[in-house]
Amino acid sequence: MVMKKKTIFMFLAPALILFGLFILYPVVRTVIMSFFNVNTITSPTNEWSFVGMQNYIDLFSNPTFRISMVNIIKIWAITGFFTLGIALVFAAILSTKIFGRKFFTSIIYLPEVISVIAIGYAWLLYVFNSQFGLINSFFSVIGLESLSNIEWTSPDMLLISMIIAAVFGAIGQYTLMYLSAMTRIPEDFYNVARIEGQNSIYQFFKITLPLIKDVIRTTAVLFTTSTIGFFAFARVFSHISTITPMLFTYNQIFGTEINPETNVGMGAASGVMMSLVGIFFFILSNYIIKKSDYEY
Amino acid sequence: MNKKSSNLLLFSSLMLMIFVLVACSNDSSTDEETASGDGAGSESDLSADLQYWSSYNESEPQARVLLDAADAFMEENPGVSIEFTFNGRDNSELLPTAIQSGRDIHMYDANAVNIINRFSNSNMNLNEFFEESYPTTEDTPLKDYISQPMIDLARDLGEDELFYVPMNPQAFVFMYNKSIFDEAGVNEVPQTWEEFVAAGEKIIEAGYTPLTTDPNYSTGIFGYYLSSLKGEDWVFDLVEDETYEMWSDPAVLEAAKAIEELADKGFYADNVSTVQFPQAQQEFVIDENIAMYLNGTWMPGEVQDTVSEDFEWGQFQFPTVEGGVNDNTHTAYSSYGIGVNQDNTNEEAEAAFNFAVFVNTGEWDQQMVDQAKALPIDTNNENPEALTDMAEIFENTEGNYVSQTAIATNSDNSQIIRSAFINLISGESTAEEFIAEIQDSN
Repeated sequence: MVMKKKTIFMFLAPALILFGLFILYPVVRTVIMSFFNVNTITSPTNEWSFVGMQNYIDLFSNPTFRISMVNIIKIWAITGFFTLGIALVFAAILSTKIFGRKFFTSIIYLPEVISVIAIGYAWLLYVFNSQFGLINSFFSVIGLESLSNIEWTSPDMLLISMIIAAVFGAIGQYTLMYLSAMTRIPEDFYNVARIEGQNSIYQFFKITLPLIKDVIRTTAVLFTTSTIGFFAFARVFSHISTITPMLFTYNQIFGTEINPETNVGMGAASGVMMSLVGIFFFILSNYIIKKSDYEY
Repeated sequence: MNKKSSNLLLFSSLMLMIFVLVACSNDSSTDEETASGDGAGSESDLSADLQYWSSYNESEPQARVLLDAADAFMEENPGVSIEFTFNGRDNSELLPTAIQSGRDIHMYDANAVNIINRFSNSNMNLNEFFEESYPTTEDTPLKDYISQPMIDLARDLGEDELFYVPMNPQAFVFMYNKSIFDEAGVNEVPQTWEEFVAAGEKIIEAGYTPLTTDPNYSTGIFGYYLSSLKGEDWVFDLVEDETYEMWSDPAVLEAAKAIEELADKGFYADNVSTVQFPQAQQEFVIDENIAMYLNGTWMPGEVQDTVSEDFEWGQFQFPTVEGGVNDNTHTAYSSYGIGVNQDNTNEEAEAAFNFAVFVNTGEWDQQMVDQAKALPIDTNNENPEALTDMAEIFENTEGNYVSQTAIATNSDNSQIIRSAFINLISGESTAEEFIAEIQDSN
């Protein structure tokens, strides 16, 4: 069917208008804002004063921002490795015909439907609590005293604790994506492998993994873009070792209850930098996991 | 695809777009609560439909008092309606943007500093209103009727102008457990740092822990010490110093050494490095084995559901530091306040101000005291039982520090200082290492 250009345009128009209004305009405005001294985020442009690259200079001389950049790299690498890795393992297990498959799938996905803030506080105040927390109590009951004495909410451990909570909260969606990809692999491949006497581990690495490589690549990109916006857990765990560029940006733009001073221009510069970092990670993810050569 | 279905799809797409745009511009919010009055007989000539944005959460007792007070006010003033939006503490972040975007908001509450600093583009000058008397001020001009320290603070912050009606006074002081003090033989609250240390030692001897803190309040003791030693302006300069050279000043080391001594003597609770708000303040009232906590007067209200009825609350000011420029008559105190939008019509402004007075005087101020355990702003009302010592503290107070002291006022480094400080009070680092940790962050 050949559609007229006018018809194509009319179909595209709503999406293009919405994209321009809600995506393109804020992005362009943020980039421009990053070169100005701006009072509040809604200040009219005639109240902005041009400062050139000063916001970027201030940004990189700000110790909290520098720490937040290091933190986000750690969060991306460690959380990404464990989230995607554990999701792959769960999906591999759930793709077999184990008893209670649907039940376990629902349980693994459950954290996705709970507010991140609620999950964050549950982990921070209850699971990691040094006196009556779930983890320490569990290790204490089974007699592993050295593990039960770990202070999960001490300054040295907060980043690790936050990453554990974040991994727990993110596994569900990636497990479902991998599970969906694995169920699309024809059963014949596995039957042949079994006839040849190959075990499940061999089948996973030689059949499953290569055939879902494209999905792994997609999840890596999705994970990367969501990590750039890592905010809620950082706000709940609230420590210098867990602060992220998104939280830093938020604090610069809106201030806090105790620190009312704002620097919207620097917040915008931070936003621009996050976008650049996001693009970098996006390219890196694509580079690490190359496109699949297999078709089935 | 035939033309008919093509048009149908196009129409659906346009409807979807219109729906999204309309949804984004819709003013209504499910968070909003309308307090409704029955408009029973009254001769009031106030007339306005007011939108009130509050910094309280709807579940907080202050919000309940506001709603009940609004009901009573509307009953007395049938021409007035008040609709609330409870944003919690995010109100300070949301309000300036909302007003600038053209949202109709006639009055709002927030902590005093935020009203002055953040809402300066919308604050109405209220000087004239304060000169008037109101039905609940016993024929006395409002400026002479309510708490003078809070009026003075409002004038200081407003540079001799009044931009908000003070509500819920707050102070950052040592909260202490009187039973533990009695059992340890500490008969007088400490007036000097030496007496404070001596009191702590007695408390340890009696088998109790002198101090605890949650991370967000932890640096207050250090900020107080430095503000006493060098003055608040110096501490502001310290946290704003981008070179971090001021951290090499002997005064910083002296203050850090004083805190290190507390840590070495076992003043702080064992779990002080791991507690997360509000764990420490809950432990303070539930376990009753910790004697002191530098916290705000809002604390009894926050823990009222868990504290025992027998808990004996006490408060004292931060003690005098030897050789300091300020003594213990300087206290970190502030208040909340109700501001009025300068874009209001005269009728709206008058109605808004009258409601602000109504809720902060007489019966409704007492309701704030009773339900939220807040300090009264109406001098004829009594302090809540948990905060009776605050009356004497305010009587003795001559100077003011910002809430939680100036050490926490620069968001560029407040978390860095806090992290290093927790290492100091938990004995993980020495005073020198604490300073080095902050300087190295640069």
